[in-house]
Amino acid sequence: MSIASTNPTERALRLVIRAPNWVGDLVMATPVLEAARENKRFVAVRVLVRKHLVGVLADGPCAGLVEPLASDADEVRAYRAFEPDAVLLLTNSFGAALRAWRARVPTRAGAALSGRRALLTHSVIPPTRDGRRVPIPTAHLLRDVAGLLGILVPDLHPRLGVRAELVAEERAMLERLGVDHARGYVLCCPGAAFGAAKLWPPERFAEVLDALYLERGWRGVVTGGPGEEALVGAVAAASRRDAISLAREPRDLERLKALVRGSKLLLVGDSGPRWYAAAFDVPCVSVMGPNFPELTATSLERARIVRVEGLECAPCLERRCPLGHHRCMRELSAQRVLASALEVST
Amino acid sequence: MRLLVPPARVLVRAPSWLGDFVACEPVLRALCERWTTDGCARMLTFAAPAPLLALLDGRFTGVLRVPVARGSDPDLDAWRGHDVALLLDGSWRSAWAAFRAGIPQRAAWASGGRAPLTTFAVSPALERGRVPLGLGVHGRDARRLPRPFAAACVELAGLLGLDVRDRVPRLEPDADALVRAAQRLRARGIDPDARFALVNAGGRNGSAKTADPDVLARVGRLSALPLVLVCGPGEESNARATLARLSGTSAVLLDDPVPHLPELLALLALASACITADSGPRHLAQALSKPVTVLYGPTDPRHSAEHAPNIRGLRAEIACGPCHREVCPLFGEAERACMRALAFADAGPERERSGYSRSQPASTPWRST
Repeated sequence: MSIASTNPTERALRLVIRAPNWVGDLVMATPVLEAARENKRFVAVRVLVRKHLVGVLADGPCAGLVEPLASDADEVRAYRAFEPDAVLLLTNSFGAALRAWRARVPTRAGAALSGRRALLTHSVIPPTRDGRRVPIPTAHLLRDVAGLLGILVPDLHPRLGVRAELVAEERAMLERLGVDHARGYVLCCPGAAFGAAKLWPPERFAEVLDALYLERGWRGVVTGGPGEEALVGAVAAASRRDAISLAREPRDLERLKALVRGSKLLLVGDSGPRWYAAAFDVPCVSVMGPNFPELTATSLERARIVRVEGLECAPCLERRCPLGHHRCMRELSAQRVLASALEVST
Repeated sequence: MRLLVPPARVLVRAPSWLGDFVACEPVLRALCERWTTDGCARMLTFAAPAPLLALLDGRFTGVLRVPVARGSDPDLDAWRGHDVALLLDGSWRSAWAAFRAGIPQRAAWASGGRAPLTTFAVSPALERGRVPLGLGVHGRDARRLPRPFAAACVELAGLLGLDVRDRVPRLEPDADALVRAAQRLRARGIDPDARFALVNAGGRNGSAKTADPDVLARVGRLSALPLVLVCGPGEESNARATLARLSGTSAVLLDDPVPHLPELLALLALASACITADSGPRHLAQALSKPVTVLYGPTDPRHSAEHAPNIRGLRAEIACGPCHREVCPLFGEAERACMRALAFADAGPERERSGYSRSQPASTPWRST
């Protein structure tokens, strides 16, 4: 969608976009970033991204707009150096709004959440029921916020890029570890930065990987983020079909894109890599526990969300199970996940 | 709250406006697929004005259809016996009807005073603060946020337990209507197998949304394609005025009789492109993945900025708009300035660039590399 406007009331604005701090939200925000870049109202656009997330946007359509942030002080410095007319806050944190306000950015647009309404010049109040916020897809909220600055986002399909050299490098690494590319592999990301409540037992991930090897011939490849080496190793160790652990290989968010893009299927918890699969149109099964499924209910064409229905305590949104039983994950069988995997990958 | 789970007997009151009706099609389809999988499609009822239900002819086998006459009370006997009413329209009357019909669960948006009549009411999103850049009219208080209607429908259905995987509205022309449309085009000297642009030249008399004949004719003249003008019942005067301004071009007007909705859908399916104001036919064309040039007048493009890779919009940013008024309250030069000041000269190259073809892919053109 493109709109040609006559007599624009604002021209030649400089825009800063404060990108989300979670991997999944950042990938979901990529259509907004691209729409902002193409909006003729803005003569210059910068995207402020936490340093550890820069790899997510690398090689993508907005890579050239990215400015990495090592600290909160960096953020204020970036505002002062760039002197933007407007900031689009795609994070929902109070701190991000406060820093934009302190930097005296004249126009500050964001969602009226986390008690920051007074700091924003333009805000969206999400839908409510009985006065309480109801869960809507994060991608929808990001689009609504972008609309406050006249940025129309006609398509919510995530956009990521990965360079050919990295793809070749990862492919060679997998080959060295025993992956037969003629048969393919299923990538498993069992971790979740959010907390232990989102973790499915490693032996069940292994059970699904083994069954997929028997059914489809796809080798299991297990990977994870920094600090998840033990979990990755546990899944690989529980596998009886020699799933490959990448715990000792170089791993980062940029390389993960190449791994996801080359896979036949992504088996993942409720975490950021799910959105990599959406961007690359790779079939995906996401095992969800304490989260609202509505929050991530976009890009479902090639994804299946598997969760236990009917639990009174779910979704609790807690990082650790407050009741200690962790039923939302422990009652989820490997057979259900396998059935979804077979269905989505046909 | 998981209300939309088979084998619940669900009545969906679909919107009465054409554009909104098309936008809610993914929810209707997802319901039908889910209930059909469980072998109980007959437990579903779709209620809407009969002309709109005709757009679903040949689809959703087994689903009961209940026509609703505009401006009158629904047939309560047909509504009784359902477990859930999903009210996707905005009318108070349908919430009242669901209440009177004794449907125990009634889900809707909490607007228009309907909340007390429902059991699950969601208050729509609001916007607050200064005027959005280039959009919206002044106002300090929180006001309803213009959002894509299709997304709002999917969200409401999602809160009730229904996953809508494919969110792109899709329509298919009826086979008989296609034959009739092709015959009608041939009778007017247009080859239905050749490329032509369909121009929606109608619009209610006096409506601020109606495309100005001068602007529409000038945009039409930029097209290298033969033009087929259509309009709705009672809208012939605007269409004839547009045709008069297109003298010397290969333009024809199909106004005797005006095409009904299934025939309009078929004509759009045969067309290579569409030129229209921001009204119902634009959504029909979009649901067929056709390239569309939309002349925005008083409407906010945020209402329809979804699943729109083939949309080329033209709008004027003026201080009084988008006002969403049915009738422009201004006089003199300011009257309907939003429509008359459109950047029509920019339309031609963009439309050519959008690559007209008989069958556009339904998927988005951008994919990750």
